[in-house]
Amino acid sequence: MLSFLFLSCLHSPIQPKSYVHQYHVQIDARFQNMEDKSIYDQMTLELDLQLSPDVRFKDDSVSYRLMVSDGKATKNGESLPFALREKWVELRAFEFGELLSIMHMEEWVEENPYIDAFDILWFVFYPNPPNIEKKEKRMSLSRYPLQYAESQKSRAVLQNTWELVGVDAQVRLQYEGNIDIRGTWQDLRLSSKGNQEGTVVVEKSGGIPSSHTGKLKRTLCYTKAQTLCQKQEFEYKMERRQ
Amino acid sequence: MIFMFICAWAQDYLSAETVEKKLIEQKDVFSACSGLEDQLHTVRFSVAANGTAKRIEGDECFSILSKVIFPSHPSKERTFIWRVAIQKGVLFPQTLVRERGYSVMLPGLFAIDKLKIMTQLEEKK
Repeated sequence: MLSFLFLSCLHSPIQPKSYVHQYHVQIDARFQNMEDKSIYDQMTLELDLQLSPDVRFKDDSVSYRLMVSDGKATKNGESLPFALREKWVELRAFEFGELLSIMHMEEWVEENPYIDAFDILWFVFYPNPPNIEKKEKRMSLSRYPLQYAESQKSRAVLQNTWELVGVDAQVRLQYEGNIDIRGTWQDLRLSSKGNQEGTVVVEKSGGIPSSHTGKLKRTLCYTKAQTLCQKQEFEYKMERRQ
Repeated sequence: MIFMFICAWAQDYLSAETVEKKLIEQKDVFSACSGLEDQLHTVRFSVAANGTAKRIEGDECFSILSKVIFPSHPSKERTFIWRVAIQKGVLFPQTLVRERGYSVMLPGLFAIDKLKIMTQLEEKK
């Protein structure tokens, strides 16, 4: 029975850190209305996510399947269509918490045309805190690719200064820094700048936080013959449920 | 053990490769189409989340696609275009491609009417 299940997954088992974790993420967002820039649309995205490891590669990175088990989305208090259940992305990352790649992002957008504005989800999972001593401040980068469409080639880089604020069974860290997104979609240039701050609780060995709260503000622009920008604000909280 | 159970349970996205393999495996289903004229035929069909296929365009005989068992998948529906050659009553599958449906515009931007924003971006000041 065991060997059958391994074969059905077409991979070798992840040892010794085989696990499935469940997470709950809530992102409250405010998006500047593009018609009337004095108005903001309020959106909330809630996701229950399940992370399971798949393959360990020679460089010791691991691929994971991150699947939406449930969730909901609202805009100005009203429910939006939510077709993310059972959809997944394949993440490749180092176990200490550095994200390398994300595959199948475009599958999430197909029936959920708002999900591409919530790319900070990848930062919420992979803020990439540095190795740090108490009372020390240290910088680290969190990077992720953005490809919600075949014609999109973009990258987000979040540079944060981290501080260790507590050590118990887990460690508690705070960060603040800035975000810089650069890239293209078709023949248009995409850019975004902003800043963020937050608190992360994580195992001493690193990895995906067991909890993460924070705020991010950015201005996202597209440029062709002219430039159009949108101010965006996010408040996020994530916790490991299991 | 829990990990292995989840992995076995999670559904894969339905790719053109998977669909093509199933069509070739179950080619005998299309014996009803052997009477078609010798030429290249094009069939457009959809596969629902539960794996049920439905002919959208193409010769009526290809409605038999509904008998082919495809895997269930997490998307609402996927559409494919299959090109099949018929020669002396024998069916020769040629190419199968996925018809890309929705493609997000201006990813990262939240707006109802992105087409209007696209137009504004292309207008010279």
